Amino acid sequence: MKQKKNIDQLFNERFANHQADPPSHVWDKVQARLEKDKKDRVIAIWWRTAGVAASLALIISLAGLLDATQSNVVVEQQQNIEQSPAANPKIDKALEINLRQDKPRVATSNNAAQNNAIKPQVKSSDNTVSKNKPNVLKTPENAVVKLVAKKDAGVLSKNFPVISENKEIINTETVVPTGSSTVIASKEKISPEETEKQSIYDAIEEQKQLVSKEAVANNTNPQENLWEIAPNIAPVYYNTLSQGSSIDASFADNSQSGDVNISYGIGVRYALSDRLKIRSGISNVALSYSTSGIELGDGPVSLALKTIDYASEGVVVIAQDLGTFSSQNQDGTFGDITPKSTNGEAFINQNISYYEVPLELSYTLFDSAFGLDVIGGVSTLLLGNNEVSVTAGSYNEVLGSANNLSSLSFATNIGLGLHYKMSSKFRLNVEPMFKYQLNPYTDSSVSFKPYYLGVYTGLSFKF
Amino acid sequence: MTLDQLIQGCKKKDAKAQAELYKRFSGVLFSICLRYSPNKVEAEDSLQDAFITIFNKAEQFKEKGSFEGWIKRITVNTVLQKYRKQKVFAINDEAQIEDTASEDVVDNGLPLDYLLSIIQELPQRYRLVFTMYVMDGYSHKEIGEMLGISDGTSKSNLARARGILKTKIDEYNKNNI
Repeated sequence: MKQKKNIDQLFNERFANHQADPPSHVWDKVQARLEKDKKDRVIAIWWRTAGVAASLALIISLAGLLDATQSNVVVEQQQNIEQSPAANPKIDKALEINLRQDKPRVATSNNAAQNNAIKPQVKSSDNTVSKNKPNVLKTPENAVVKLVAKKDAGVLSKNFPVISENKEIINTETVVPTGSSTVIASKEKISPEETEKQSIYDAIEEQKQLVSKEAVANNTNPQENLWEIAPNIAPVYYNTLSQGSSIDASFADNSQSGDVNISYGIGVRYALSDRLKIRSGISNVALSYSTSGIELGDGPVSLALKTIDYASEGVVVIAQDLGTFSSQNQDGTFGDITPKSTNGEAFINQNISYYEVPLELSYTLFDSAFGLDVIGGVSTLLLGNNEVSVTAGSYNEVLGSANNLSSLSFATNIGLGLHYKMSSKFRLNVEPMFKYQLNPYTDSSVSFKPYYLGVYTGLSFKF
Repeated sequence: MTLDQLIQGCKKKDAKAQAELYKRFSGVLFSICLRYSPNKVEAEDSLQDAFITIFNKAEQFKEKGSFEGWIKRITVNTVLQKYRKQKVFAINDEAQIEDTASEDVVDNGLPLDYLLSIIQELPQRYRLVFTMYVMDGYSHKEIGEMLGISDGTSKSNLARARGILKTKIDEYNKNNI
């Protein structure tokens, strides 16, 4: 049953309703890319916002610096300190002055003050006689004795009602030999002032101390709130100080560019002094950079990059320096590799994430509403995610993980800390940091010298 | 989910709608990718790219036309974009031949897999021109514009593609009598 058919018609008919189920990993990759696009968008928005915030913070702090010369900020703070202890010391001072001035004259105000001091004590002693006896004996009696001993008749007569009143009260309690013997009198002459001091001046003194402590507390917070907790997030830019390539020496002269990723974490700071703080914490930092000038092909693992542990065996995606395939193909060495047809320039991307534990010192250069610190230290980096992928246009494929990365490495950190005091407890921090990696690769022949830049932003809380 | 709901969902970048859209159309679109690509692996890459473009451009879809037609066009454009920039694209033998009347072949129930494989084996541009013209109904003028070649080159490439395909089918028939 031979059937002659026009070739166009044959293909047209046979493929008209043709459907072919793609393998499931295609959808996985589509999903992964949709996710990544979403993330990239968030990062882009964040980067823009952070940029605006950082420049605003810089402008405002510069303006703050200029203002500080007119000491507006400082004056304001002093006023606050004076207001917080409030009227108490003034009243106490007035009292103190009154008492002192009135001593020789025994003015009515003195009596009033003394009586006021005595009365409540006596009243309470009515109920608990045995307990309060010594107090009752001493204070009211001394007060009376003092008056009797020091003052002339005129004054006495003036004050008589008060004294008698006191005496009456005292008498209800116990019989006291008031001024009956010179010895007692002389003793009491000394003791009254002492006891009086204890009761009134000491109280004043105590209050003063309390007030001054409060003032200290309000004034120099660092002494009270030595700890500070600071969650932070930062866009980080990863790049290298040298040419070199960590992936393969053949890429050393290729153009490489760092990408912007995100670091987030939480920091803890402890104030060693007013200006010096020690800082630590933990954060997760994602880093990536891409190498261009490459070409891609499918081929056996044995011909693939040696620094990559491929996830799959057999045929894998192979990345080579641009031009390698065509030159190798002629002598047949790379005959097993099928060059990939890709849209746009191909890139090989290294994606790394570290768990970072910094240990840093910060020194405060100035600290008013706006402040500026210099920060320096080291970070311990524990390797987290490690992935090498290739992209070309919208094509994206994960090759595997790099096998030359140190699982434990270190970085030296240096940076500036701008902060704005939102309240005595909260600060807004913007900290541009430069971090240089010391031993990122297990293979010391790798001449790739990576660093990363981040603008760490967040609120910190003192406690 | 109706197609309308699906489209609305994709416009809002709803993950469920995106998954459903993929489920419904990946078969048709993968068929296109297979016809336009030299092998299955590249077809998969293209399908991936096409879906990303579809999801990203879903908002731009005007309700007037057919949605399936729209996503098919995006898929074809995605594949073409990929090959347009390539040097591989240059075909050494550029001497134009006349667009001969299409050739006839014997069809004893040729397997589809075989037909697909001989399309994929065609030189890049022959494959694109043949697929566009024969299976997706583009005119030589459209093909010329989309591939950046002249109408004449398109016609010539089509004729060469037909010739190669006929030879291969004849050979297949000879071996499988």
